[in-house]
Amino acid sequence: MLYLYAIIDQSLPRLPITAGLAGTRLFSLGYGDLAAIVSEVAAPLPQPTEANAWQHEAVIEAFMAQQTVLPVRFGTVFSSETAIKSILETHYSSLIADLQRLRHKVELGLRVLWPAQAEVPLSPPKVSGETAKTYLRARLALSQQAQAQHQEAEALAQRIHTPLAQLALEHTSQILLTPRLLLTAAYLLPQDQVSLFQQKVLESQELRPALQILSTGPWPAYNFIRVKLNE
Amino acid sequence: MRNNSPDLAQQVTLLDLLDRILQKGVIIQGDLTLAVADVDLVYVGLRLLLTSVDTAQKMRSAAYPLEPSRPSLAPKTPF
Repeated sequence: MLYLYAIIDQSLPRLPITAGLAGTRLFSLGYGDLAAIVSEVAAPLPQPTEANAWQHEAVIEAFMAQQTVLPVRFGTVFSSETAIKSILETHYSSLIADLQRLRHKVELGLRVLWPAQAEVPLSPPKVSGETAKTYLRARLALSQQAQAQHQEAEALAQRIHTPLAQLALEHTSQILLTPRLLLTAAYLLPQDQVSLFQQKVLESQELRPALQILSTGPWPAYNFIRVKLNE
Repeated sequence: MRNNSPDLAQQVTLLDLLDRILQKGVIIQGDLTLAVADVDLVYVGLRLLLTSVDTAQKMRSAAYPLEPSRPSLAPKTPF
């Protein structure tokens, strides 16, 4: 079976020394100006363990320096070379469009964490009351308080996100994915803007010592792929 | 980031990696796409647990006993 790691914008790439999953040998399948990076894997299929996750990522990153790379989701396996080439053929122009748009771009991730004791509850805690009326009043007060906290969290997340988003070509963000994760975001940046971005993250951290502001990457542009492939 | 423990940085990096490779990138319905395609990522505190939708419900109830009906993930709306 052929495990697919990435689609790149060069039909005959120089292959890195990196091994594929389970120590398999990488090779490329060219079509036009594109190539699929694959390796032959045997059953049982690779599971998303921490080691396999990093190996999948390592293969993609090994191509990033030389080519533009469209990372493929973990666990995408085909039975034949023909099946993969037919995908490259069918979606050729949209794959080329994504590759051109993402050339010399990388993705930076951001997570902002509340200190554990300051988490904003996702829903108000339970209340008890003597009568229906006092119960409802208590319930209302709590829900208003939770709503105010939520708005405050949103405003704070926005103050961190906005200056970083201004450096980015595209961005995505979510607030309070969990009570502790105030902000989860991804930013698409030109390669040469990465250190400026990281500098801004450090400044933001210094302004807000109570929060933990962590940036990860540069990553391949996972969050900014537009091509939709349906068989 | 100098105040952050290496443990936390490592955890966040793994979280970011799994978020990306399991849910983002080029998504192809291959002729042999692994079942992980339907995996639901569940965050408990910051510890990321990777599981199927089925066991996710159990874990969620264990992690948030007062909120058994809590939705799995917030909708991905940009602001």
